[in-house]
Formats: sequence, C-alpha cells, structure tokens
Amino acid sequence: MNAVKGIAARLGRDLLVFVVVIALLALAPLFLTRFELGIAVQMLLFALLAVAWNVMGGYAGQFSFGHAAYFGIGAYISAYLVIHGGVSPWVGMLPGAALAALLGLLIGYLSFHYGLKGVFFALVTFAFAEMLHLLTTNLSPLNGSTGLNIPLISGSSWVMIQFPLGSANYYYVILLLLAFSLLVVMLLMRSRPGYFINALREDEEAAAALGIDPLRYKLLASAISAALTALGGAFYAQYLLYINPDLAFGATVSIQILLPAILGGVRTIWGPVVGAFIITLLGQATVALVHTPPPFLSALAGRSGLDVMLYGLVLILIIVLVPQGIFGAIRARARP
Amino acid sequence: MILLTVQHISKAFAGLQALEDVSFDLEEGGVVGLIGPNGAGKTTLFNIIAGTIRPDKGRVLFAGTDITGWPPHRIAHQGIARTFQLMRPFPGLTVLDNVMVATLQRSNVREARAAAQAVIERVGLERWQNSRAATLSTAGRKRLELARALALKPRLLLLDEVLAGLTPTERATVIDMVRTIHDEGISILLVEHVMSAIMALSQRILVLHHGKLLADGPPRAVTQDQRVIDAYLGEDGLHVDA
Amino acid sequence: MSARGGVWQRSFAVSRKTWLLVGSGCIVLLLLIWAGSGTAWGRASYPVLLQALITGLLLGGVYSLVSMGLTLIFGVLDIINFAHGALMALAMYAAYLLVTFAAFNPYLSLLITVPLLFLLGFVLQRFVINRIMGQPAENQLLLTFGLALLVENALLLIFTGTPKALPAPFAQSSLHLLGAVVDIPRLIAFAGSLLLAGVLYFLLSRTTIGTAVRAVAENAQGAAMVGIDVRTIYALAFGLGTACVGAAGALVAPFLSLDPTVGEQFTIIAFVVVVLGGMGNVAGAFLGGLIIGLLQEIGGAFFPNINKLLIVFLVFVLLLLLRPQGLLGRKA
Repeated sequence: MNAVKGIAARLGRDLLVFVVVIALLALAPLFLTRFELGIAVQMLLFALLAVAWNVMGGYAGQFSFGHAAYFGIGAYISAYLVIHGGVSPWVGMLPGAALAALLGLLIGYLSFHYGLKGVFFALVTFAFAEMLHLLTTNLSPLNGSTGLNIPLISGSSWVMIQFPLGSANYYYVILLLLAFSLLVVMLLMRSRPGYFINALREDEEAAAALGIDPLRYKLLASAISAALTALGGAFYAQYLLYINPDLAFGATVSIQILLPAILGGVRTIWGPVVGAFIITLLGQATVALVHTPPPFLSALAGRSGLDVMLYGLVLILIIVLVPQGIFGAIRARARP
Repeated sequence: MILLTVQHISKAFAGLQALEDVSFDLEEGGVVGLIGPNGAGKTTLFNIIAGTIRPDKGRVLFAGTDITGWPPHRIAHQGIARTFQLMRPFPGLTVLDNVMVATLQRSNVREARAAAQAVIERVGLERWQNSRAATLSTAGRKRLELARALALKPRLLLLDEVLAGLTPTERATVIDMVRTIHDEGISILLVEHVMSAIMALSQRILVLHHGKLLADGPPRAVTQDQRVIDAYLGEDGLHVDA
Repeated sequence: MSARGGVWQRSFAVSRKTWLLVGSGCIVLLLLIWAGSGTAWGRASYPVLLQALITGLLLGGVYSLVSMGLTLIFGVLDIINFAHGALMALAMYAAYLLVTFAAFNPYLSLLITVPLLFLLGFVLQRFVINRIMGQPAENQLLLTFGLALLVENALLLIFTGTPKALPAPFAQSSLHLLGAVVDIPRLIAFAGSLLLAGVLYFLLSRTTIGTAVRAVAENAQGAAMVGIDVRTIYALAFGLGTACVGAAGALVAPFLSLDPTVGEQFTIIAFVVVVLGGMGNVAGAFLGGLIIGLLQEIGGAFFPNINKLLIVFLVFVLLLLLRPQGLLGRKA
C-alpha cells in the first residue's frame, strides 16, 4: 500500500491522466467492430514500441535507427520457446527482454567507449539490426527465411496468449503491456535516474561535472528501452503465430518503431502514443482511399504503394513543419 | 591543511604547449585568484583539475588523494565543483530541475527538491524557478551556474570567469555571493579578468602566461611584479577589465 | 564528435607515406601470390580468387559510382542522404522508359538521366531540404528517408513491383581475361565510374564553381562572408550528387533487374563506402567502393557459407568503432 502511495505521490497528475487514458482504452472494444479491433491492436503495439524507443531515442538522446534488433530478439526467443518447449509467452518474454537488454548494453557500451554520437551512433545501431537480419536468414535452427510457425492450440488460453481469431483478448494483452511500459517510463523519468538521463541528454559534459556518470545512465536507458521493445516483439510473434527475419529485423520495422515517437513528440510521455494513433488513422485512411478511391483517382484502385507514399509525405511534412512533433508542439504552446 | 596540490602539470595540444610544469598548493578555506592573458592556459588548468582533460605530465592531489586522470563525475563526488566559462545550463530543463540534478547526488527526489529550492533562493532565482533555463538572461544563467555548483556542497569551487558579461551592479551581487560562500568554509579557485574583483576577493594570486606560472603570491606583491605588469597588467594594472 | 572527411586539397593528393605503404603492400602481396602458386591449394584456388577479384572490382566500380555522389552531398551539406538509392532507382526507371518507348541506346539515356537527376536534386534541396539545414542530423536522416519512401512507392505505384529488364545491346556478352569472365556491361559501368571520378576531380579542383563548392564544404560561414551564395551552392552540390546517382542508374540498368526497391541495398552499401573513404572525400569514396566490392567477393570466396553482406556489415561496425574518419579522412 505504501508503494502505491509512493507511486501516486511521485507521479501526481501524470497518474491521473494515465488512469483515465487506460480506462478509456479498456472500454474501446465494446464499441469496435472486429475489423477495427484488429487495427486497434496494431495501434497499441506501435504505441508500446514507440514509448520504448523514446526512452533511448528521445529522453536519452541516443537516436537508435536499429530498434528492430530488440524487437526481433523478443519475437524469436518467445516463438522458439513456445514451439520447442511449450513455454508460455508470458514467461518467454523474460529471456527475450533480458537478451535484448544485454544487446542494448553492448551497443551502448561500445558507442560510449568509442565516442560515437549522432549519425555514427545511428549507423551502428542500424548495422547491428541488419546483421541480425542477415544472421537469422541463414540460421537453420530458426528456419532461415521461411520463419517460425507457432502451432495452433484448440480453444482459448491466457497462459499461452492464444485466442480465437479476432478475440478482444489480444487487445487486452497488448493494452496491459502498454500500460506496464507507460508506468515504467513514467516512474523512470520522474525518479533520480530520470533526472540524470535528461541532464545527460541536454549537456553531457556539464552533467558529468555535476557528478553524473554518463556511461551508467546511458546504459540504463538503453537496457530499459531494449527490454520493453522486446516485450512488444514477443507479443507480435504470438499475435501472428508466425515470425520471419523480415518481420522481425527488417529496416522498415526500425522506422515503424520510431516514427510515432517523432510524429507525436519525443521527450514526452504521451507523444509516442498520440503519434501511434495518428499514424494508424492515416494508414487506414489511405487504405480506404486506395480500395474505394474517388473518381478522379480511380486509376489507383487496388495498386499498392500509395499508403507508404503518404507515409513518406507525412514524414517529410512533419519534419519540415513541426519538428518537435505534434504533441510536443501542443505542449510547447501550453507552457511558455 | 592543504586541500589541493597541483604538481608539475604539463599539457600540449597538437604541438602547442598549453601548460608547462605548473605547480601550486591551495589551502583549505583559501581563495586563490588565477589571472593571465587569454590563451594562457587557465581554462585548461581548470579542465585538468576537474577531470575533463588528462594532463601529459604531473599529478593533481585533492585532500591527499591522487585524482589525476579521474573522470569528471568521480571528481565531482570527491568534492570539487566547477562552473564553465561559456555557461552550460541544461537549456530544456527548468531552473529547478537544473539544480535538482546537483542536489540529487546526495538525496532522494523529495529532499533534493527542497534543497534545490533553498539554493535557488540563495542566489535569488526563485522567480524563475519553473522557467526553462534557456529563457534566462546572462546574469540569470551565471547565477544558475553558481547555484548548481553550490548545490553539490563542494569543498573546492572552481569559478571560471563568473563575472564576465555582467553589468557592474550584477557583478557586485555575485562578488557578495562569492564572499558568503567563502565564509561558509568552501575553498575557491577563481579565474577572472575583472581585476578589482580579484583584488577584493583573493588572498593569493597566481599568474599564468604562455602556460607557465609566472608569479604566485599575495595580491599586492603580484600586481607590482614587473614581469606580471609587462605580460598582462600594463602600467595601469588595476584597470584591466573584461 | 564529428569525423568529417579530410581537407579538400587532400581529396586527391596522396601523401608519400601512403604511397610507400601501398607500394610495399603490393610487393608483399605479389610475393605471397607467387609463393602460393607453388602449392596445391594455390593451383586450385587461384582461378576462383581471380574471378572473385575481377567481379569484386567491377562490383566495386558500381559502388564507387553510387557513393561518390553521396559523399559529395555529405561533404558539402552534412546530410546523410537516405534517399540516394531511391533516386538511383528513379534514374534506372527513367532509362528504362527511354529505352523501351523512345528506342534510346541505354548508354545514351545518360544524356537525359544525368541532367534530369541534377535538376531534381537541385530543386529538392532548394525547396525542401534547405528548410531543415539547421536541424539535428537525425531529423535530416528521417526527412531523406521519407523522401526515399515517397520515391520508391511512387515507382511502385506507376510501374508495379514486377521486375523489369532493360533490353541492352551487349547484355549477354563477356570477354575473357586471364581465365576470368568479364561482363561487358559491368566493364562499361566500371569505365563510367573512372570517368565520373575524373570529371568530379576536374570540376571540383579546376573550376571556379568547384572551388566555391569546396569552400562551402570547408566553412560555410566563411564562404558566405567572401560573397559566395551558399544557398545556391548547397542546391548545386546536392544536384551534383544526385546527378552522379543519375549516371550510376543509367550505367547499371543494362545488367541489373529493375524493381522499385533495387536502390535500397545500394543506399546501405553506399553508407559503408562513404564512412570507409572518409565522409566528404570523393577519392575516398572511389577507393572505398572498390575495396568494399573486393571485400564482398573475395570474402565470399573464402567463406562461401556466410552471407557476403554480413562481412561488409561487420567491417562497417568495426570501422565506425575504430576509425570513423575512414581511410582518407582526418580526425576532427
């Protein structure tokens, strides 16, 4: 009880917003069709991944261009354990998160030791993700490029996170994971390490002069970011009942992870969530446009490419017009 | 008690000798001024003491411990705090958060916040407590630098041109603050071009020129030393002002 | 930390120490080769290695072609252009159109693709990319990535994802050199790469515009103060970089199968090459491209079971860690 009181005191208003948002999201399945529910699951997953990325890329200022590495590790380890050990994915998430955290620590340490910043750091993270991509494509125990199929079980199981197609339970699982991650991030950023992480991002040298160990706190941010991302990966594999190197480690995965955070506003708790929401809506709008286009665009009916084109356009517009993200811009207006 | 010992420190950058065989002691509770023309090596010396740079030769001892080559954050924990010549606040964070970063070194969040507020009041920044540091004026930023360094509760405070860019009134306030800090028992090593301040505050003055220690002594003696006059002060010594 | 490429005057000048090193390296290599030819392993492997060498060089020539434009853009504008490969794909499709519908000779299509891509790059920089010049590198990366998505998917929309092939005059012909097979189209691309390197050298070091470009690369503020129109130079340099990629596209179209994503692997490899050669160093990009091509093929010959690209990435990571200024770059 004391712990809860402590959390409440620490988070204050943030906790209130959190409770309200989660409650609203929990009620959503009552109003959504099966199709819309599928979209909503996707949206919550992107929100989770963006929130996780934000810890490293936003708050710690370590722009990672290869978060797919952590995502894929979580997915593959969970899937592998389910297939070959019948292990519950809830349990399987843990070694995935641990291994991802370890990789995060490694990359963080190497970058710190060799003084990699900015673009160079981004390129290293990208390279690591690509290497994992290439490795898994060639590893036969992981079925190479064919990927792993998770066997169907009959009926519903919360333990194995498997439900009938279109079940709202998938939504609740990802909502739970998202809520968990949001709590972790909120607590982190309001705690001592959180202050230090913010300071390090603003000015590493000045922070060090005030007694903050740069390596230690960058590694902390790295590990937490990686672990949370892996949770999302484990869920994804279970949701699809399938995983392959492209879905797990592809370059587009890394972009999809960070895009909502950039769009919504890095360095805010809710920016990534808002960003995920906007991107999902946008994606749906363009899919609808392509399937039933207005008469003057009828040539585009059924052709693929338009949705991603719009993605690209939106990205360009955001960077040019609202570099601090949509939520970030709103918040900046709200406080001077 | 000797708090800081700098022994035969030398440092070169790409062929340029920034510091050459610099040695001096600093007594606990003392205020020592460090003067010299621009490029003399003053900030380099600070950087070496604070751990940002490693010296090529020599040692730095603090309260008996050899801290040569220690990383900056460890040195900060030992009890040395520094301000930067070009002020470096955390621009996106509020003034309160800026100072809390320092007070959090020794306490939990709640206590740290209270301690930070106390320091902020002390330097007179309460009104800007919740404003982002980037919105502060130069004077405000100087005070923030000072507040952060004080919040660390250091034994030795390294002040790097803390009066630069301030109007005479603002300077007077800061000089008073430095005096109060000293009265609390904190030792101070300060770099300044404002000679009046150095003369008023220092018990001892070190003069650096081309990386070498030219003079070391009480203010009167140093300002009348012909070598110092030739190198830095000019005939009208007391009017050197930044 | 910035690890930009070396001073432009050093772009094409090679120090005496480097000559000595390269010279003695070559002698040692030749000795090893002669010694190895006596062994059974040597006799069996040499033909394979020679083929790998030739293929690697030719492949490397293509990489150089693509990378020189990228490094130029980075050297002058400090931008990592993620859209580089997509623009190359655009050029390839342009060549395809010209060949298929206007009966152009694929190599003559260069006359169209190069100016076209130059113009495109110029306009892009002047009206879009210029707006984010001051922003952190990550934002620039994202912007150019958005551009890549836009271009690639526009191509997908227009041409669909079905791979296309360019009908080329000597697509199937090859000649035999020392027992190894050399594809003619690839040889032409290699020659084109050399030619481009020469043209760039001439442009950058012997013309007034080139000097202005180098000045801006060195110090944009200083260049502005002596009256150089920095904004136009930026657009020009970007245009030049995309023109290079326009040339690259036209030259490789004859022997690569076309699909909208064909540029992606080139973008990635171009990054590796640019870092290897020193960001901003055009000669470095040329040499770096050759080295990476050789590494890929010869590495693949020695370790046939490992994905060739994996070796390249491993080298990339090591490079970023140990020598981010690349081979010819100067430590900032």
